[in-house]
Amino acid sequence: MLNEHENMDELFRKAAEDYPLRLEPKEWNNKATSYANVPVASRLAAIKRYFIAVVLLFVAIITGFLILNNKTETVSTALQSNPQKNVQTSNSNENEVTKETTLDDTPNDLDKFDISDVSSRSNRRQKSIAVSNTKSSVPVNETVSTPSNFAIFDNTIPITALRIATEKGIVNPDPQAKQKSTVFTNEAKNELARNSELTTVNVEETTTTDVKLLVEEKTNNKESEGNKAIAKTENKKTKHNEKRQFYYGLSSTINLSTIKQQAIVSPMVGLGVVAGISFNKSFSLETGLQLSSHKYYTTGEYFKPKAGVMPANMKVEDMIGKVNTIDLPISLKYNFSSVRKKLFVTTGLSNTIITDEHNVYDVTVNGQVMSKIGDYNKTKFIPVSSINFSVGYQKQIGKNFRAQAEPYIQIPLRGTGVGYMPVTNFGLRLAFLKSK
Amino acid sequence: MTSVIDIILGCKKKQPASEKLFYEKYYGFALKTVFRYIHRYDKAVDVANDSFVKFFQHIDRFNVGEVIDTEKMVMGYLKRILINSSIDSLRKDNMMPEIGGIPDYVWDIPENGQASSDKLLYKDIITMVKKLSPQYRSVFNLYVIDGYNHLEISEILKIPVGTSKSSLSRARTLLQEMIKKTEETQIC
Repeated sequence: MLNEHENMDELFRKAAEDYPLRLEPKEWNNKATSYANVPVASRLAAIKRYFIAVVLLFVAIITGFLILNNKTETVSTALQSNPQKNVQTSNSNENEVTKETTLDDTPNDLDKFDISDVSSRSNRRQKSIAVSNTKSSVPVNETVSTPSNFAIFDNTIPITALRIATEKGIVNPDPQAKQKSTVFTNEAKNELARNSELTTVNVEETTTTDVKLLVEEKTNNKESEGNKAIAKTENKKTKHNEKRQFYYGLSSTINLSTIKQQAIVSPMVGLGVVAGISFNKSFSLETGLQLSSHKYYTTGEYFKPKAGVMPANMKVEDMIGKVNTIDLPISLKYNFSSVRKKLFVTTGLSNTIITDEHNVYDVTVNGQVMSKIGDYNKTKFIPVSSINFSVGYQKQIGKNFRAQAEPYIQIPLRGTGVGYMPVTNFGLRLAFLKSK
Repeated sequence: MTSVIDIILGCKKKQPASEKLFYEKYYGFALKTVFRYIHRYDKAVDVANDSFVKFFQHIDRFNVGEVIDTEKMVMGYLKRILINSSIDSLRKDNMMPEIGGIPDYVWDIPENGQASSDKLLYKDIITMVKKLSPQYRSVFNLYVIDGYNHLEISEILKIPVGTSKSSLSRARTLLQEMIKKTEETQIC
């Protein structure tokens, strides 16, 4: 018996020395030196802490941007809703806040003037001019046809000057007219020049906007061409906005997983990249790559492995599983509302690559309950693994950036892991995107 | 060719070139040692790498003596670190049994099947050892292959000496059954 043991032990010793194990390429420079400066015991913990810190930092940055942006928006809205305040602000700090004025925004006095009536008194030479707001946050481009011998004014009109001109009969008011414009005859121009009030004039207290006068001395071709050029540029910009636009960015997720509405184990995090293309203001196609982990619990009822994976006499009572996945989603996004504030919905499909699976089972073997671990590191590709829905809110930050928060749900179309379990994932996705 | 003693002295001076030489020289030995204890190959690679780092961090404790003795001492010291790291890793998982086979790619066997019969036999033997539960496997490896006695095993694994002995006995029985079963299959 002893000899038998010794022979057996000798065999095992030889086997332990000479067994044919594949030795990985020795990459000490890449692998081990990266460990060298960090105590081994805390290496994994440090990586975990670093990962969580990055995610939290990312969330904090997005939240900060959203808060700051909201504050700016609130000030702007308040100013717009309180014109008197706006006028005061304009006077005190003209460079910072200027009320948007369009032709439709001009004071009631302007309703008295009819371009068609005035222009009928002279030869008409059609000329296109661009009228744009001074320091307006939203540029307005509008072309007005006007006779050549008329002085062209900006849409910002000095009410006092207009009143003088009206009183002197230089301009012909027409109360019935609906079209609003600001056209003066040469006489009016000269009269106004004499009064030396051709520069910015404060509006009466009852006026609701801060209106300025910019009288053009000459309506020469040069200026007209300049205006045309501006108009062309603005139009180009508008057209550009309508074009397809590429965008990309980073995303992070906080996700929870459940199998058939059973217990949720713990939230997990994920990180990824997003890329998309906007076809127009409403529709975008989005894809990306998301590295994430999922933890879930299930009873043995939903754990249905292929034959041979588990020993025949073993019955899984319940299990807690964790998978690391790479998601490759493709989704269609529909944007609601305006440019700067956007609500959106997305729907799409996900392909999943399972890179690693770690399960802890409670099993019964021959009537005896015990725990077992299952580690599966074989990479598995699951095409069309789930259908995704989300509703989100996105906020423009600056000219090219935007942040978005997006609650989502992934409904399984195929089973996950060795047990082919129907894992439903849901959570919150935060993304920080840059438009190209 | 650089001698072991030079490599060790270089490692003591924290010279990256010496560390790399040492790592390359003993990587195979380290991985083979760890893989006997750890079920999964990638985890075994991690544990082996961690052990090297531990070795380099604590190499100051190591005194260089005669050349022959130094190599033996180095291997013994490294082996102790490798075993401790492996046991720690198993303990982290509460010594729970693992499920899942060993993929073929971890074996260094030519695909045309022209490996020597010894190699195939050794591969089967190690596979059998890895089929044991972590505790039986650890006790068997420590006692039979790595030469520890039951007292040392009880300290390493933090189990009573009696448990160590019974675990070894049970491991031997299970391995004999497995060998017998394999032989029967081959005969059939």
